[in-house]
Amino acid sequence: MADAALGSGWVVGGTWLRRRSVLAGLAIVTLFLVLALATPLLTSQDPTAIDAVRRLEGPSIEHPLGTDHLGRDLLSRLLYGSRWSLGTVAIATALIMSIGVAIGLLAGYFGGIVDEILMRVVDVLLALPSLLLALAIAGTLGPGIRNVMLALVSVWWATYARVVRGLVLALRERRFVEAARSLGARDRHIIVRHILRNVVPPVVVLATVEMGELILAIAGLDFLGLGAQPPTPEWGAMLNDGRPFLFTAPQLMIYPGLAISLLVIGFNLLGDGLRDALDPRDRARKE
Amino acid sequence: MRHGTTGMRIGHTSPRLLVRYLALALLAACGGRRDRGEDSATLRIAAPGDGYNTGPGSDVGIYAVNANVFETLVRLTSDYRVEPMLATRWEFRPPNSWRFHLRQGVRMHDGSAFDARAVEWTVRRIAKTDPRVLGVGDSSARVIDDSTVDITPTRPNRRLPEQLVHPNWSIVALGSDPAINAVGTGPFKLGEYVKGDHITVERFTDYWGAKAKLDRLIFRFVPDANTRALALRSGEARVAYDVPRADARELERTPGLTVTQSPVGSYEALYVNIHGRPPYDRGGDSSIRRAIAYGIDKRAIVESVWRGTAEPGQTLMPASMLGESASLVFGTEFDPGRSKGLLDDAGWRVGADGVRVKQGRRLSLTLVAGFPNAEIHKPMPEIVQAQLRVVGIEIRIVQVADAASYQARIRTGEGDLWAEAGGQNDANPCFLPDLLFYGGGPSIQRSAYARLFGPGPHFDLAIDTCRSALDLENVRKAAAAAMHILTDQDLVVIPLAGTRRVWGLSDRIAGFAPHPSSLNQRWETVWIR
Repeated sequence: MADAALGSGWVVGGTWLRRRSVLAGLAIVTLFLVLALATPLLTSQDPTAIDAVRRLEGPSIEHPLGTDHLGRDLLSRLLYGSRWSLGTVAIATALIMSIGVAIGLLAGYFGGIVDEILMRVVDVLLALPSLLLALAIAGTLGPGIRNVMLALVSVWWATYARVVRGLVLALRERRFVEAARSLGARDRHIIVRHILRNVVPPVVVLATVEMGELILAIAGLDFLGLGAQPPTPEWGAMLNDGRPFLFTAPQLMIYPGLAISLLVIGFNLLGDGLRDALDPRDRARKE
Repeated sequence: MRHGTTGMRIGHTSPRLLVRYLALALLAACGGRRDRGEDSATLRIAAPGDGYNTGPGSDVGIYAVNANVFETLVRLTSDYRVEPMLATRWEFRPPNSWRFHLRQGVRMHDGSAFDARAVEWTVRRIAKTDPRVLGVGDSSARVIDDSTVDITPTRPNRRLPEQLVHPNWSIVALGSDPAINAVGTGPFKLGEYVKGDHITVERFTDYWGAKAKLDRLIFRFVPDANTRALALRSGEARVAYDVPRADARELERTPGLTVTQSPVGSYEALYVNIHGRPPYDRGGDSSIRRAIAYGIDKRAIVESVWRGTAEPGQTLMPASMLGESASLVFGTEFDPGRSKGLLDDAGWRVGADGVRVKQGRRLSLTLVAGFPNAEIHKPMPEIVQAQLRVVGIEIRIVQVADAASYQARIRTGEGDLWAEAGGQNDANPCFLPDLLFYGGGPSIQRSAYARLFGPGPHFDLAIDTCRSALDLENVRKAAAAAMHILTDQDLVVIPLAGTRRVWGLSDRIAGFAPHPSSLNQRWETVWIR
């Protein structure tokens, strides 16, 4: 059974939960998740409603964080922005994982020419700076959040494919896989029932670690005007909109900047904790 | 050429700029203003991005940052008149020639004398690389004697002297090329050009006119307007081109800084795609175009976006260029009731979400922002979006990063409304309508703009009249007639505002007179107190 437990330590005993940083990360991510889900309950303001008369106002009961350069409520834009940020990163991560895992499984399990071709593609992608490549693709495809996600997905999957391939190469030689094969199980059955289930946990950890980077990438491309288009309340775009007011109304940059930083820190803490908990050397030391 | 003459790349954002922006922000926020080891003879200027072409037809030191290395035969005054420069006088010689009498005693930067052969060489360069606007050919220039030259365009062109004020037609020394050996006649000569970083020019002591007061100008290329303002705040620059309009008032309140504005010389406008293919074909319906024009509150946009740095406009060129004929251009006033009525009459009914629908098709339009980049228009598109929503028109905003992306999109025609900011950089009142919307003429291939926006033969006729008129009043009338077609009759163009160039300066700068066309900005009178 030890073979089958290659990636299952992440849930054993819940020791990682005791790590304060993981708890902090989990709390931050959960907070943003709750805020995103409960946004319509938390604010009645339309995040896109312009009121030129009330531009750049300070905090008030009606606008707890004040208004932006077009008189729009900052709090509602931040809250709706959390939906955009978490939504886009969730969709992008799901797509990246799907593609990366599928390609990693195929390359690792079948090997040979399939492995050669797929891994050379991965090598090419990993040899180039991910964000710059995504920037180039998004710039070519044209502005829009869909194109930004497409650009990121088309670049980011390579890391997952490489990691999954490595895991599969180790798994396919294990006794439980050989046993399944000797019992006449088909490749698809072995991949889905025996290999995939052992690959998923580390991939989830990888995704958690990478989410922070992905959020930054999405916010960065939005900042550059390639992602969400006006008047969408997206944090990266809000940062860019606030630049002319750096000295007169710094809150226009501070609030979305803080939101991005906090969420990224949350995912990083959570991911680091999960990775540490899964690290066999670390576990061995503790045992 | 189109973008080489009507605007500048301002505010384009890139990752490298972001780093620079953050560094300057930190410097400005923490350290306040510092003069960075500058003496009073060297002026550091935060200029727009390096748009210099170093290939064929190179324009280093000329466009988009005119470093005053080169000069034209005639120059543009700040009220858009033509006055002598390297030519002291000129006259029309029928059927289609212009004779220029050149200034004598002018030295080029290499010590040689400026004469008619330099003009001939320059016209040949233009004929090889950019002949369309002037309509010149390889043999258009004919040297009469050392100080007299005839220029004969290959097609009738009565606007030649008014066009020649544009720095693109600057005189370069015989056999020279601005990208290789920049030899001009200007008050400054080229010191150093580092692509993408800066251009340094130094006082030319043998200049024919009043000598420059400063020894050296360093134009550092800073494409982003916010970063230019930060460079000014941090003391990295003492002059900043086109600071953000939203930041102008705050800059003015900053100790040691001041803001100065030029007269109106630029414009902000929306062009309507009237020849689009589905789904970008709704601009072809004149009732929709009218509804858009009446649905936009220009005054509110000017007040909330440009805040004292612009005025509501009805034309592309400064109205003063049209003289009394300006009254022939009416423009449209904000009238949402009329806008709604037009759409009702055309069968567009208000849908459940407030957006109008006709035969199952939503009245949803794509606004592309725009030329020269999306940043410069912000937040105008969002305000237009909100205003048109009130009358039942949905606007989807698409921001494009730079002029190249915008041009690519123009070529594919993917958009209904196109936001552009341009400028009048010569003294020809027909320059902009001609350049952008003229679709006629046997020898001229229809431009991508004319394919989307060109009103057709009735407009082309007005431009032809403008091109062939000799008398200034007739030129103005023809230009006004062309604008009338664009903005009143066919509503292809919805001018939003006439805008001023906004400069940020250290309060130690003296002698600076902002020109409405920043391409024609002069620097020899500037000094540091």
